[in-house]
Amino acid sequence: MNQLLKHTAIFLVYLMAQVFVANHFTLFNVATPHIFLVFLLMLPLSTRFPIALIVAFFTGLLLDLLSDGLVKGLHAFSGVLIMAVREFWVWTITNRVNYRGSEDTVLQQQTLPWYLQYLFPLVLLHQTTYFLLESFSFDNLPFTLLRIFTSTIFTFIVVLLATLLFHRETKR
Amino acid sequence: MWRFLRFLARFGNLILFLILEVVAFLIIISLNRPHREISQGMMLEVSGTLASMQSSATEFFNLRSDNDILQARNANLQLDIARLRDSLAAYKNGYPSNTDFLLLPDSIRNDSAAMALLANPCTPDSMMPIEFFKFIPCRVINNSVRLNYNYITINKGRRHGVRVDMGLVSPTGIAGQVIGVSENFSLALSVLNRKFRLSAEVLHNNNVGSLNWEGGSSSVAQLDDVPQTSRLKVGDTVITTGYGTVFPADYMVGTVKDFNNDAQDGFYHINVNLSTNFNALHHVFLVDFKYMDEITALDTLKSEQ
Repeated sequence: MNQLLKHTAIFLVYLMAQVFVANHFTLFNVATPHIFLVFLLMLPLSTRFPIALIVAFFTGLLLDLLSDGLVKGLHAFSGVLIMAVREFWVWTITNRVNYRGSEDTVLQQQTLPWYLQYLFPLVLLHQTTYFLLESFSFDNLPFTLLRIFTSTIFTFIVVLLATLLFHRETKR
Repeated sequence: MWRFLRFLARFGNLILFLILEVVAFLIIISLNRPHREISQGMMLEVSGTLASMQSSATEFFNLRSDNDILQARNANLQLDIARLRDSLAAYKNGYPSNTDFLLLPDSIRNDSAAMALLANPCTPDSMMPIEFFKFIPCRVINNSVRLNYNYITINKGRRHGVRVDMGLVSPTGIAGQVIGVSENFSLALSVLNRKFRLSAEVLHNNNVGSLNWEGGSSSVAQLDDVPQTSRLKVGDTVITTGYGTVFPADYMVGTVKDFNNDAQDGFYHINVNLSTNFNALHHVFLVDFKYMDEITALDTLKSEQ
């Protein structure tokens, strides 16, 4: 129950941060930081897979509805995608040697290189899916790639800072 | 049931993932106008490509029937040429040429008005020029020849501009008359139907008769009411008269098979070999007469008198 309340609070905080701040904070009209990814990526690995998928779906849907002028359904789609990929990615890059802590806290306690390795591909995948679906054609591919590249960097830095400041317990 | 539950337990996560992604994707392509337009265009493209692939695959198997159709049209064109030659010859023989003037009696040669008329005779004028008619190609999707009352169903309907009372012709001759129209299909009275009536005439005889079908053979119809005083021989061409709005004038009906001239009523009873092959009726044309409504409106005056 305590965990549920805590994650609901985290959810609300990042939802508001995304809707009221980050959405209005586009860099050169190209890159948008998707700070709400912190919530999805810091969801405990102990969360059951179907629950995680549904949480990602409705988080995305809520964001889609609250974000004016953006393409509806994009966050739902890419959120569910990275949530599914995360499950496999974590256990691909983790082995018994560098595995620390329980599933509840593994994201907070792993080493920084592991954490970067965990974070970057998922952010990249999310941004790629998001912007490809937003343009929905390959007509303007160079511009789309530019947006993917800049937004990935931007979002990655924002998410990394947020998690390092507020979510990581130990820094090694 | 257990098997299904076990299947769900095993692939439930995958299924859930796919369902959520599909729902999200449907939201994307249905709630956003540009995405909807692009995806609809893609779907149309895909279905169009599939349809054209299918048709290119089946095209080969239709070559034989297409060839038959082309041959039939070719025959029809040759018939037209023969008919035109006929009428050209009739025109040449029926009206005096310059040299014939010398043979005319003096009284007429001195009459300038008569000479002017002979020099510029009125060209024979079809009652309804062929430009008034439009032909809508369509396919026969149902047809019978063995019953007493046969009907033809075709694949064009109200949506394609078909109206009741339009004529139906095959490349080689007349075929029927539309009696019912739905959105996409039409039902036509076949010539091989006892209710079918048509005014027809024998070429060069010019006496209008009534064509009907008494059942039996699918290639023979009956032409009545041609007076026995007129000349007639086996093999003469039977054509439409152009009366009414159903068929254009001078359209092929068939040829005279045989006739009996000893009836007491003074009319021939002619058996006509129909030129349309009702046993192999596939490609037909609807006859769209430009002024059908106008003439139908005039016809209502008849009943008001």
